[in-house]
Amino acid sequence: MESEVSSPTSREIAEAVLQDGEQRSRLVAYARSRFGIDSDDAQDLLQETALELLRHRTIVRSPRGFTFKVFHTRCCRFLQARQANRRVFSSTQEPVETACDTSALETADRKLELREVLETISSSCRKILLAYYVEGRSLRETAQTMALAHSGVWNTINRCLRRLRACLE
Amino acid sequence: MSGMRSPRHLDDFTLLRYAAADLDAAERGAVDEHLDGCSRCNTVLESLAKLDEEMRILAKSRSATDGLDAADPFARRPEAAPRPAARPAREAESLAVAALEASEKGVFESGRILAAAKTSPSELKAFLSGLPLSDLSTRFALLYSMQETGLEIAESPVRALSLALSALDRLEAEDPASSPTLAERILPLPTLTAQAHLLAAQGRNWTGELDRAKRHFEKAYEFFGDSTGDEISLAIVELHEAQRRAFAGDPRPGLSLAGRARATFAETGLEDYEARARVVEGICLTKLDRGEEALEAFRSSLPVFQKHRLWSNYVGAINALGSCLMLLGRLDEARREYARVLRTVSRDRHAAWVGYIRNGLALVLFQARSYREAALAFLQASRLFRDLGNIANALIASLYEIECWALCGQFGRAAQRFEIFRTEVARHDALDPAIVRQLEAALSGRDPNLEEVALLTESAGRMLRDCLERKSG
Repeated sequence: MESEVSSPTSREIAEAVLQDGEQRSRLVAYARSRFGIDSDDAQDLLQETALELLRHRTIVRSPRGFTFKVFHTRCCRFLQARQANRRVFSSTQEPVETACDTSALETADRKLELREVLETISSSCRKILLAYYVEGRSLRETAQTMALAHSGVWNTINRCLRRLRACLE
Repeated sequence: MSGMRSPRHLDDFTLLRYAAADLDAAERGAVDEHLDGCSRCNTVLESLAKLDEEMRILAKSRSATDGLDAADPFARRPEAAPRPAARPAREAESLAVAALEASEKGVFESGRILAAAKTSPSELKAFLSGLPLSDLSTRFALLYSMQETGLEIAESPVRALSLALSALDRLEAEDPASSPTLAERILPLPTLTAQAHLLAAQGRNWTGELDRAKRHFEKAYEFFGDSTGDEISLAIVELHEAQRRAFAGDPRPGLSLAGRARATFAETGLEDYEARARVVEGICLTKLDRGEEALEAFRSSLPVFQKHRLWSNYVGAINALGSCLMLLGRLDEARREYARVLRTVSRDRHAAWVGYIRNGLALVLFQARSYREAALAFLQASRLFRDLGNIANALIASLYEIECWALCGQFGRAAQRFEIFRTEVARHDALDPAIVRQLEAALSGRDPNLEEVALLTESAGRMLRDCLERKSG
């Protein structure tokens, strides 16, 4: 019953909080390519992530892993807030418009359509998506427990995903 | 990567897993390599990333209201407050450096607060009143000491409650800064207030004051939401509130809250908290008569607690699993589970936890009315606790052992064990002599009053714990 995990050292925490230029650039590039978030906003989200790491250092086991995951989550929330046409920054500066932005009405319509399509896709695909997004299970593990190695089921999942993304295009 | 079937392009499921950060490092590397030279897959990825975002929004709205009344203070997770405008890179870097330095000092200083928490309540108050909360490192120290105390609350819920209430008094006395300071930007006072309410609520949960715990949980949720809005803090409040609701006989919303918390822990990679949420889900499911799902939840948490050496949580999950099996009428399976765990946990290295596991087994056997076996398990637990100097638990296990011998009709043995118990209690001055005499009277004669014995065992157990906890400070 020996542990495979130990608490992070001060050095590991410091590396994750301060981040060298290369790590920082990589995360900023990730935010830009995945979410369309510009560099200033990404830097700010990184800083908020670092502060969150310090506020939770008593429970964090892998500072770098935590930083990536929380940064990713913060990017998602940032995008959601922007998509919902909310003011994220308290300054008077308007956020830069990107291809991701849509009006509130379009967003609502699209969500409704997505909900409707979700009701019609195969049950195995729906189960995997619900297990991941609602229950927080891993996509891979859920897929493995459902014996997705079977190519017929595999093709069905991919077909369903194509239908779902089609309603967002 | 089983999904990457096409030699030319990546399939949608693989790309969705990439977008959802669900790939391991090797898989991610292979996908990165492919994406470097494939514009078609990049286009599909962009579309799947949008799908990922929309699914998260849908899931959040779904999980936010499932099973919770719209008027429930926990119906929706508070949204993060608007952030200040992005600052120049140099300023941001100096903020991070200041925060890191203060955090390092805070780790060191939190030891002093934890030591003060072991003194009397008045000494603790005096100590806290001298803390300069305008200083960022002091704020971190207070935060970490409360977080640490919460993690080890099983050791002394009363002490945790005392620290939380004293911290709340101290925070109330602090004047809020008229203009935003660096300390307020990094670790706002309302976040400390939220943490103190959370700790107070955890303490009340342990002492069974569920109504009073409720108010503290609501305050913690509100203050965390209004200050940093960190989703992890909010999820931790939801986790403990879910447990409170299960204990308070309201498991359906408890299950929803635990599920919501678990999704956040999974998203942020806090697998030990994810396992804790699984246990709370299991407790709620047990109370909803969904025993099979509860068993799955408890079993899935065990390897995580074992991996992180979280023995308190491990024992809690094992005992919940044993109780659930007992409720399902699968006593033999419960025995096998305990036997397997007792083979796994080393008695030499983890004697204290072996004591708790044996005690859990004894309680399951007791509830199943296998009194003779329960008496033997309580006896073993009692010896283990006594050898480790855990006198309160040793004496409480002895009390139950005596009741078990009486319940299975071995009154002579019950009387013999009671004599030993009486000697030990007197030696430690751990129990009011009046209740000892009442117990003796209930156990005496040819036809002992078993109902009276049961009632006295319960109240004597509570008194023992209170008395010895007071003595140990």
